[in-house]
Amino acid sequence: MSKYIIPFEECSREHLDLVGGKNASLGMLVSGGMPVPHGFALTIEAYKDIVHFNNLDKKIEAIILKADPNDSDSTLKASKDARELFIEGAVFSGAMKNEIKESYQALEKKYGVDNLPVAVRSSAVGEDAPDASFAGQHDSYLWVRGIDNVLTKIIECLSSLFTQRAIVYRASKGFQIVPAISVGVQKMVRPRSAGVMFTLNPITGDRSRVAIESVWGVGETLVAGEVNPDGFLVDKIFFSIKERKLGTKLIERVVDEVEGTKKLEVEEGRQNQPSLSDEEVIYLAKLGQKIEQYYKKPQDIEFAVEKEAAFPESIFIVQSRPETVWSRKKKAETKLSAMEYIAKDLKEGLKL
Amino acid sequence: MAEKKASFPKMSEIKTPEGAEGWQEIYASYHIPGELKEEEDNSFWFLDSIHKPKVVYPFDTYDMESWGRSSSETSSWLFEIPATLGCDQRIVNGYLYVHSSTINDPELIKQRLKVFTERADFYFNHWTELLELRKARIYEMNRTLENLDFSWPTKEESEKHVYDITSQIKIPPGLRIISNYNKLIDLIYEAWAYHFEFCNPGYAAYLGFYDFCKQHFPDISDIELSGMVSGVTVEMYKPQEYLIELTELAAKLNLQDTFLKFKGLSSEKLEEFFKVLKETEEGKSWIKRLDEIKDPWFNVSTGRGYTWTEYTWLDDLSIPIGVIIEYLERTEQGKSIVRPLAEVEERRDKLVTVYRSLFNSDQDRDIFDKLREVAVAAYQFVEGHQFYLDNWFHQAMYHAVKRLGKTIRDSGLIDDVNDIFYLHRFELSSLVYETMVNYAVGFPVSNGDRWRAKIEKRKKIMAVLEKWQPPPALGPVPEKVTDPNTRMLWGVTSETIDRWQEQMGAAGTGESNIIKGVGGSPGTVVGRARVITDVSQIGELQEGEILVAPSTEPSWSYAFVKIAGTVTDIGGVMSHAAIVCREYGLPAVTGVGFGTRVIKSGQMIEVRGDEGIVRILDKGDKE
Repeated sequence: MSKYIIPFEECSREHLDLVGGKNASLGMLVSGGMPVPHGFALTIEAYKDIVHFNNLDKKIEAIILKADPNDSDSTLKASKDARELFIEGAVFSGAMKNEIKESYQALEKKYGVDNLPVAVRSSAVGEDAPDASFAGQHDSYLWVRGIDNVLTKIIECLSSLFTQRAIVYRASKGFQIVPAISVGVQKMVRPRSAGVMFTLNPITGDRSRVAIESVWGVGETLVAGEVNPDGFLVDKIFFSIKERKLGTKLIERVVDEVEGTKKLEVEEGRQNQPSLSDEEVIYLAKLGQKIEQYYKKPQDIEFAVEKEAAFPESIFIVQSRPETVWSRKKKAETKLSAMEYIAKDLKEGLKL
Repeated sequence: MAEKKASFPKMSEIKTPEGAEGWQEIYASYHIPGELKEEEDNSFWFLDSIHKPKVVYPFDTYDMESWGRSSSETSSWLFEIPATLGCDQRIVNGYLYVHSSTINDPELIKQRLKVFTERADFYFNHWTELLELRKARIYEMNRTLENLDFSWPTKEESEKHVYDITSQIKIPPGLRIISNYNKLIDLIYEAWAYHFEFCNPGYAAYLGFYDFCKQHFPDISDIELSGMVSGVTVEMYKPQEYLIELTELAAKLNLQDTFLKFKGLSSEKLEEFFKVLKETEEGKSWIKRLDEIKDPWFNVSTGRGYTWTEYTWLDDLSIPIGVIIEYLERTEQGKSIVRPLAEVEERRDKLVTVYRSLFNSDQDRDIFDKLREVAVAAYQFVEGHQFYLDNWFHQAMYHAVKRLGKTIRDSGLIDDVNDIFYLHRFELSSLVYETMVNYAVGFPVSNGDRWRAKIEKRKKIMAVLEKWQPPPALGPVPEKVTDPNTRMLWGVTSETIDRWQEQMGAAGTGESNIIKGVGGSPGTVVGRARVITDVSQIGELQEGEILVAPSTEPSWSYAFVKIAGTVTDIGGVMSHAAIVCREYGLPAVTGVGFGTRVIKSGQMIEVRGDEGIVRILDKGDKE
């Protein structure tokens, strides 16, 4: 690790302020032995030095603070101006560029692929990343190949600190200064299927179950609600599939070299086929339980199944964060004794 | 769930099938509907196909009313189950329907709740002690029944009666029969009292555990719940375990060849079998062990135990020995016969460990432990009583009744020993008296023609009723069920009622190929169905077939080693079929309602134990 770069396997909770929640979480997953695509984080120090050495900080702050958060046109213009200014003005120092290059090459070497396709994603830091609700405010760039493209996309990704949404959000929270941002560069998975897994049943809150939803292609269509996903409910004791609901998946979003991802129609024969095999579902559920035990909290996990790899090497965890809905609910403890409980039950009976 | 469910037919709407007119006269008047027509029509009744799946014999109504009374008084005053009084019974076209009552007055419920809590708490704290006491009494009752004497005094006895001056009071000899008949009647009631003394609080405890877990883990399945209390070795499994022991002993003594020569052993060949065995020392020592075991452990009925048409392994040793021969053959083929109890225990411990770890607080975990402890104790009785009450007691009782029948037949009042089962207990009381009079007077005062006419008519009516299909339930569906027996034993839940209603429709059209029931034992299996509605058909079961039956009983256990799964019409997760299938690791779906009617022998079916679903895969017109 250096001032600017921390490989995922070295990222941990201690580096939260340097690499942001998303990168720290990926790092923890890697050190916990979970199958996460490798990569590295560009720390906020890198961002800070870039704006500092290119004399961008004051200029950008002026643009953003000038904007009227209640005026959509004003924030849109501020965003546009700030991003343009940043992308044009941000130049890596030689040392920083070299470090990024070395790290990218190390990745290429690790996977034995030249011009290794990677995803470049922002990772928000501190108050800028209060919870999951912030997800999606910054940009991700998929299918980035070659060091030159990686460098370009890192700059673009850093500029996502000034999206209109981010500006409005910060203003609504009353933040006076523009925070810093970290970027993650991660080996790209080319998903045959992808989805979301909760280590509890999100409908009932039952912690003895793992709920999985999956679609063909990348997971964005699921999150965006564009596709009726497949759903699976697995128990954590014997890992048997208790419920299975197959969705009719009319479209899929696949990784595309030019566009990042593109939307395709799913051919009829595959629309009602399960996007995960039983074997994959059970493997994922076990992995989910492992991650939950690792974090000691129910988790909300994103996963992908690599098209090119064979099971189980094909299974990747892309992200994991604490489940928020049920975990926040104050569960009423049973105040009754066992005997009182039995009596109460007999008193009330069973509704028919 | 909240919406009001549709009603089943009203009791008064049920028509008598042609040829069965006058069936009401078969039974004691209080079993016949009509006097309280309005109440009957406005109550919810369900068919008791667990205890009385067929047309009830008049004599058996006494057994039936004994459990009705015992269960009722246990709920209504012994434990004061908070919102439940007793259960009422009616016979409709020869079939038994049960109605369990619910208390709605909150003040009364509150008063009863206090009493129940104190009393049940005492029972749970003294459960093992109390159960051992009752078991000792039940064993004693069973022996009493076995020795109930209904014979006339011998010449020696008459002489002793006259000449023995030390005999303090001279009891008229005929009184022995009347007195023993009364004793028999009393013992039946007493046995059922003990049955419910433990079943009611036991089921209540299990339900408490069940609902507590459901509250914390809304998705927990019935199978997971019962899995957490199963694997307790008790009386119910002993006959089976002794069969295995005797099999192993035969192998150890190198008797395999001798046994295998008697493959397909029948009762006629039994004498020869023992003769051959006795020729060697090894054979003799095997017989010695058999003699030690067989009484009481082979007091196992060939059927449900509840009807007189059955007999026990002890009555016909060719049944258990036939199984041992089959086991020896399986062992030689390298197949397993041992009950996979270890697997069940492992499964139970895993379930308990994982669920315990998922509680949010130690307080909840403590209550879970306590509730489970009580439920495990309850489960021991649920399993164990099937041997010493359902099987042994009932068979001892029926043997006693048959001895009485022999005395009556010998006095010329009936033609066949078993004809007495066509008379209810008040009629039988009269018949016993007439028998005694005939003896006392010394020449026939009555020739029994009145009884004969009655019995003949009843046989005809019952044959007609046997063909009639009773609806699974009658009357309006209530808002809630409070009786623990109704929930646990008969498995009456919202889902059950939905199923019954669906199936009443499906049975009419014959179109549905999916039958829903209760997930009794996990796993999925596809196989050929074998519909067994009577114990005499059990020999038809082939290796790998799926048993489809109204319900199953402990004595069928030996059949479970060769079947691939089970489907039963009636029963919840605590029913025998579910319990045994879990022990054997076989998929089971219980409580499907009309399985024996919708599924045909030879059809390929899929049993999905986890989901509680049976799918009929083909039309399979094999039979």
